[in-house]
Amino acid sequence: MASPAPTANPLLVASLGFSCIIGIVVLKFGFIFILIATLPSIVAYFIDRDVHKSAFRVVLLCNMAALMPYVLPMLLAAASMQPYDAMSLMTDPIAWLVVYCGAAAGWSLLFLCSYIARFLVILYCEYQISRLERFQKKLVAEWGERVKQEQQSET
Amino acid sequence: MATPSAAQDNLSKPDRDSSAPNAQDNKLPTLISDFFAGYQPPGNNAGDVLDGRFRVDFNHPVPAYNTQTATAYHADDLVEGDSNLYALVCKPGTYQRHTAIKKLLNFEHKHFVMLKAAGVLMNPLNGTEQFVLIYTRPVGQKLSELMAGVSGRISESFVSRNILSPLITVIGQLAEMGVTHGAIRPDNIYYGEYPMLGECLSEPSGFSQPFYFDPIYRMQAHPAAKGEGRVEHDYYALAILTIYMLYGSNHFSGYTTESLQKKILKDGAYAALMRGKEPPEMFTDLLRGLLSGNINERWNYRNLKQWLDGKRSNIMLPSAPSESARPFEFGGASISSRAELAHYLFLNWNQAIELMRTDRLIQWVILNLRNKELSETLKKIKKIVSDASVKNQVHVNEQIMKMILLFDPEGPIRIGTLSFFLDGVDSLYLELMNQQATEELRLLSKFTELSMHLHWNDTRPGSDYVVPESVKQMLLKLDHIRMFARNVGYGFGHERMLYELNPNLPCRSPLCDKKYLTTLPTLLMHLDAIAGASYRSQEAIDLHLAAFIASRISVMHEIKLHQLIPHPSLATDKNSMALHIISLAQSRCNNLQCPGLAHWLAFRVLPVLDIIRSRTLRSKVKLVAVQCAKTGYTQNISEIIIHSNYAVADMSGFVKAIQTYKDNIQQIAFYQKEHVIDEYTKTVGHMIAKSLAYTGFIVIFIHMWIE
Repeated sequence: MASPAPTANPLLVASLGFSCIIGIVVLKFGFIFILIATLPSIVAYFIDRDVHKSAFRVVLLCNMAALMPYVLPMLLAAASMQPYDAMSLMTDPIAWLVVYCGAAAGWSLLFLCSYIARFLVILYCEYQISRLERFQKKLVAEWGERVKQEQQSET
Repeated sequence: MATPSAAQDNLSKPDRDSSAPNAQDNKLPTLISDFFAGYQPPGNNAGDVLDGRFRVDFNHPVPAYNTQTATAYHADDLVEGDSNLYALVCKPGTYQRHTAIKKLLNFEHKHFVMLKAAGVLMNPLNGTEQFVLIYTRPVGQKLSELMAGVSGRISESFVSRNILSPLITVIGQLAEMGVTHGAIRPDNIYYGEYPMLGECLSEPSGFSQPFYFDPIYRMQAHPAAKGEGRVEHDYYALAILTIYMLYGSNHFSGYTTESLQKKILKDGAYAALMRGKEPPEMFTDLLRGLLSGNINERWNYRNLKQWLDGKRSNIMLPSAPSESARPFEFGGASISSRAELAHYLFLNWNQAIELMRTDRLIQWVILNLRNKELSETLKKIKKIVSDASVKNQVHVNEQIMKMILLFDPEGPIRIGTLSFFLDGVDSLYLELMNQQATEELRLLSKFTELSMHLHWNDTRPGSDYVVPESVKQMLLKLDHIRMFARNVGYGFGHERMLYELNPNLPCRSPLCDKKYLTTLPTLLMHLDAIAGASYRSQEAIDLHLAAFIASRISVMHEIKLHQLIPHPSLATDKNSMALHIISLAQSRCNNLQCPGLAHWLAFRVLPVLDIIRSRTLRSKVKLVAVQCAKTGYTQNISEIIIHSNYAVADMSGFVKAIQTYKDNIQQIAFYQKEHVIDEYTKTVGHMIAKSLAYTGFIVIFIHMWIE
């Protein structure tokens, strides 16, 4: 179902802008790495029309989980005022592969879970229908066919 | 005894086995059948000995004493060893004069047959319980037979001393007791050494009288509706008896009821009955006095006593009752008196209605009768009759009736095809019911409903008129039963009016065939006794039974089962009504147990209960009803089926069930919709994915943190 276009929260935009400035100051090239690495999540944010942005969150979490082994040393070095070679990361194809595979795993997770969910939902609906039908039969047994006829006459 | 409240508690207990009721429902009729297979009701048949002393020998009829409504048999008094008795066994459905019976029971008079006992006996010849009157046998032979054997003329002194004198005494004594004989005629007078009046209680007063023995106004009335009459009517019959004895039985031949009525109205009773003959001097005063057309000149007991004592008054010859010099032409007759006019108006009812739409009669009254008050009343009647539409035929009839009463206040009430006296309404109603005269019954019912008897009150001559006791009683009854005429449901209508008018009448229901049941306990015991044979094929109630019970328990308003209104067919069902009415009757008969009747009602009402929609409730109500039947108190069944509020609960439960069924259908349709499944799938899928993603992220984060 199409959801209304998200409106920009000024506080969020401001805090995001502030974080970006801090990130650029502290991480320098590392910030550019993070920005490019989370590109799939950013794309997911814009293509997810859901109000709760569930797909974006899943992709973001998977993306961030894959980014964690590269970002954590960078943040620790920044915290201890140690220099960190972000350029080597930028040129490491394995790092890019890992990060983007993480994002891809997020999308795959969404895809797989929808199958599992459909199976579960169908099971649930079938159970509900049979429960209601059993109840209908009990109603007819207790009150007679007139319960049905009254229904039919109303319709 | 299981009380009604206990029965209701039973109903409110939860149903432990919801699958059982169906099987149980099928077993209930079998349970009832099993009950009847072993049920022996207590017998309540009338015996063959009345009051423990009078035995009727049904193999020994005595046709000489038969009446139109009763057959005579030999009877014995077992206590006193008196076999000089006879019993009049009254035909079922006939009227007996119960008020007079109470007064004349054991009344001993030399010149009157003594009524020794009255009650109900089983007639073994037809297996029917019948009302029986036990009389002492009159001495001698019938006067009519005696007369037939006499070749010459009977001596005047014999008639006076041996016939009239004793009879005047006995009639006077009866009058003192408030009883008129009403059956003084040669074949009901016996003569041995002295005359003896025969019985007069087995039929309505004057029912079997030859027409010429009745005064004109009793002659004009329906034979069953002459009312109790007055002592003057008996004296009038004595006058006719005198003429009969003087001139023989052929004296009246050639007369028919209609011709004699016309003759009397034209010439007066004396001239019409004497037929131009001059009576012996001895009887001139007597006959002129007793046959006088003028009510103020008519002889009473005092005059008769004086005559018997030898006093002679030289009474004027009664004149013709002409009141107008110029006759009024109507109905093919030249009418010259008001009584005659009333007679012809009744005989030509439709013409009378047409007549009242013109001024002809009013003009005649003004010019010839010179009665302004009467003419003013006639103008009012004319206006009502002229304005009335066809639909208001009843009101037109009422006005004509009123007019006839104005013209002839001494005569009977005449309306449509009916002519009757007020105190004869009870016997007339019974007679019309016997004849199934629907139109006449409807007319009489309207007469009662619209209180037309008030017109009779309004037309009484003079303020000193004393209303006879029997008429007073009837006026009270008519006021009381007015509301019963309007309703036609169970316990009302013609049947109810019949039992209210005739409180001693036995129940005439086909269920009580061959029985003479006049009280509620005997009726219930009889129904209990026939339950085993009738429960499968017959309803436990009909209009007569309902009316009889309603009359005995004084039900005043139409019976409606308000508690069953949610189930209209149950509320109006014959069996529900039967249960309600019989339970009311039983509640008036303290501690009278009727297990057979209770099972009968339960059996009949079980199929009706199928109207209850809830299977569980239905089974429970049926089961409890059958259990209650075992107590023998129909009130308990009634409490369950009529008075417990299950009908309301059933109705509200059914409405809820319909709503639930409807909601369920919508829910099923909802779960079957593809887009709903897709929506759920998306939501659940995202939820699972999010859960897994969060878990994965946290695990990696912790792992990294530890490293």
